[in-house]
Amino acid sequence: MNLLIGALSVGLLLSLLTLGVFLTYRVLDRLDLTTDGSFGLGAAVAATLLAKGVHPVPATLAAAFAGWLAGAATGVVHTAFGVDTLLGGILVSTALYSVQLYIMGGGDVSLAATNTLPGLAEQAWTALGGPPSVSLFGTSVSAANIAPLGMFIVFVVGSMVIMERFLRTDLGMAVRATGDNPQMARALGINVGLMVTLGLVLANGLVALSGALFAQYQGFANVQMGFGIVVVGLACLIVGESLTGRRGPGWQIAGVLVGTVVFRLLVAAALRAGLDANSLKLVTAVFVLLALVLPTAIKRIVRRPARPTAAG
Amino acid sequence: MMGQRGFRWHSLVPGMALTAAVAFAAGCAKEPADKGAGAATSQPAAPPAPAVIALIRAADWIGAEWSEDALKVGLQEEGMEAGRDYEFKSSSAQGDLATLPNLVDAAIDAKVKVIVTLQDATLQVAVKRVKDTPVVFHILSDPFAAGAGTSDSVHLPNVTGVYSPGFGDPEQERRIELIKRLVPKVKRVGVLFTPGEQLSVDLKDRLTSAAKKSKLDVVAVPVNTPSDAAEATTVLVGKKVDAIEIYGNAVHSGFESVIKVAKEKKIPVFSPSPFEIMKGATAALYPDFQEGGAVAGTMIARILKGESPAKIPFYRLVTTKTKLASEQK
Amino acid sequence: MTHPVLELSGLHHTFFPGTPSEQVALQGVDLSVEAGSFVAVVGINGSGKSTLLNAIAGSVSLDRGVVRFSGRDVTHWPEHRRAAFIGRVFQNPFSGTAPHLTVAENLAIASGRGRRRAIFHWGLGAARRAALAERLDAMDLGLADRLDTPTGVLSGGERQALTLLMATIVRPALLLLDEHTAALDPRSAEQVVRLTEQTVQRDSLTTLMVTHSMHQAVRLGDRLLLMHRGRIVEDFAGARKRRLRVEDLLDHFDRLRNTDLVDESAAEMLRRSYV
Repeated sequence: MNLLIGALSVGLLLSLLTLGVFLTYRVLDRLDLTTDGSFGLGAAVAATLLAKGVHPVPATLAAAFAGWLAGAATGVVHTAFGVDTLLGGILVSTALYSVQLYIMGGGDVSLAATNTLPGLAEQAWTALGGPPSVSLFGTSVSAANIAPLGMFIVFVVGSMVIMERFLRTDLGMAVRATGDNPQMARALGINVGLMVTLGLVLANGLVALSGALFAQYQGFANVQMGFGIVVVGLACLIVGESLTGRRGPGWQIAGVLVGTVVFRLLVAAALRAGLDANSLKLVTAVFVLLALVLPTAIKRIVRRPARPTAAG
Repeated sequence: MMGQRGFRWHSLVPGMALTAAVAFAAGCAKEPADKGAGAATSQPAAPPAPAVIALIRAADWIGAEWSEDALKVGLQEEGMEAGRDYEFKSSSAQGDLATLPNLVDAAIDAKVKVIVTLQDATLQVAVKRVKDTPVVFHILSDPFAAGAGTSDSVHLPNVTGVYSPGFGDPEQERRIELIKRLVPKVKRVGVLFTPGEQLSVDLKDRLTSAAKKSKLDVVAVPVNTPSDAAEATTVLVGKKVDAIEIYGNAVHSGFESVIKVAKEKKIPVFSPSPFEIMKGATAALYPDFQEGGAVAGTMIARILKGESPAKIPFYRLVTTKTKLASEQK
Repeated sequence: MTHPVLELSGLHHTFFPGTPSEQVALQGVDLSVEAGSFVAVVGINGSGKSTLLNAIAGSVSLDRGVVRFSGRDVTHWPEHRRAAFIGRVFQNPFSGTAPHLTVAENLAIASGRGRRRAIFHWGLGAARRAALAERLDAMDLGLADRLDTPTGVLSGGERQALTLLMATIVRPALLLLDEHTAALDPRSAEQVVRLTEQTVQRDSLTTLMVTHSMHQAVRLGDRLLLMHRGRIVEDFAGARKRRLRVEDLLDHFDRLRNTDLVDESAAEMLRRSYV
């Protein structure tokens, strides 16, 4: 049960990362490698501020703001110097490695002794009269484990709803049109460079937020935290799309959430099943492959008998 | 074809139901096994099942098996037999930090008797998540930074273990002495380190000040990824260093390229890992994990026998061992 | 004094300058288009007619020359800024719409042309949807019921019709049509041509239409430009345009082709004496 709640929590936290990847990879139609850097950056900024005694809420917001700056940096490298966003992202995330070391003053920062957002959730739980541990399915689950989950659900679902709404405003539609057909966007007076930058800013803010929350959840920030994290986001995005389809931003954002959570639950299930640690990554890769292949396979099987009637 | 307006938040119900189903499956998969274990203990005739000890690593390590054996030595000293009194269940997050909390949670759910955390990151995660299960740490440098305690005797009630700071000033002076003994004409020492690892940076700084005391020059070159290792070594060679010291995971992962470049120029490489002697390092000075493992093993045994970790002080491992390449031949 | 809607003077553009694939697309185009006129532009492939449209829209940058909209020098304006004055329909039906966005969303984006796109402006309220549906209904293509269909599933003809509506939903000072029926089957092409005529007439739009079809060029518009080798070589207007027949136009093409067969210096001489 602890494992289940832990996996749900990690899934919720990382779904903000996936949402950022969705914004760049699907909405803007470009792979943004700034992601690796801004995840670690968010963790570094939040952890450093928390270790200095800053309240968790402003520390987390500052992390998101740092992510905006990272996204803006890639956007400016792209628009002002005409560098491809892929290369721009690589450059910025490479530079961010040094920035993180500079911010943290070293390779990692421990949050063991500091207050964190999950810590606040736990305090709120106790203040509201919650017991120190509850029994679920016969296992004892501590408040430190279940209270943050509640907070993450509210926080993450809230972010998702806001993003879905945003993508349907005039500005949000302009961002989507930019990724979907830049030629058309320009012809209709949309400043494509500016919209790409806006998308990168929003996406990296979400990624940094995810990193900040993740660092607080696990209790430390580490300069290597973000390495390869964009691949995790992509995998979750694709699992989600295979479940909800790509029928518009609402469904896709729902897919982001469901995909990330399911992905983490599958990893947890594999651990629970006592899978050999060495084969974990192989099994994870197989999950993603199945998520890609199964929906079409199922559709083919379901449709086959229906075809003659449809034709007749 | 559904349009955007066809989207309603409540239409997520099928997806959520699927999620819940998967979650339930994950949560219940091992439930019968737990009950089985409970039933076994309630039968007085059957011998008690061996206590499960979870060994959790943040990343894979070449010395993993070796450190397990050292733990067993300590357990044996206390009269505990593997298979009869206890069994190890090892897991590794393989460097994936998102999986690390899951591994710790899985150990809590499996109701293991003791969680052994190997490496610093694992203890950092365990301190946040494990409230009741006893935790014994080993193969790490700084339990205080992880929040496990404030001194060797004042610490979290469920956490104790063995730490090997290894970067205290005496150890670094020993390293310099070793270099001077093996390379008598040494004037300049090259250091490869990883800026992203706190421990690596600390070791580099302390080695630098120890070298200064012995009137040796130090040239430090960063290695951020294993693929930088060859180039960084070439830089050191270009600066005419007489010996090379290496610290940091990125350097160790790129060890083969370090040794290739250094061997060409006949520059000896000093390592903090005994395993790198086999791969061509000249000498290794390292914390005696054998001793540390044995101490950690006795701690586990004492906890299994009912002692509270709160009463067991941390053990600071200061013994170092030296291994020379010639011993291999 | 009122300015012409569009004034071009001395436009020059070369693709891949200084490379073996160097290609001169525009070499000195001067043109002035008055408000309300409908200008057709014809010419063989490589004559520079599409480049001319792109130069006006701002999607290619000029080596030399000045572009003015209603007297205002816009030569250094980026494409998206010029879009405040321009509505465009492209040759490729995929170019004019965003395939993953719905018909309604595409139209909503189009109606933001020349305005700031506000974050707080709700994209598609009920009133806005009703207004869009009405515009679609007027086109009589059955698109009014398909507001929520992604444009990616529409046919080429439907897409070009939609793009035409998007280009004109906010009245453009200048409508640019770049062989907008070339990729369509004859029936859809006919439908789009009819819609174009209706729209241009109804809103009395100033229009520049590049076309590959002599029939279209002769039938539509009150002025016809013949381009060759990056220059405007013939300009039929007023009565001359009304009298023009397809056969006359083909004659002109033949003459140009014969000029091409003579060597370059002779061609230059001939051009000087005849054009």
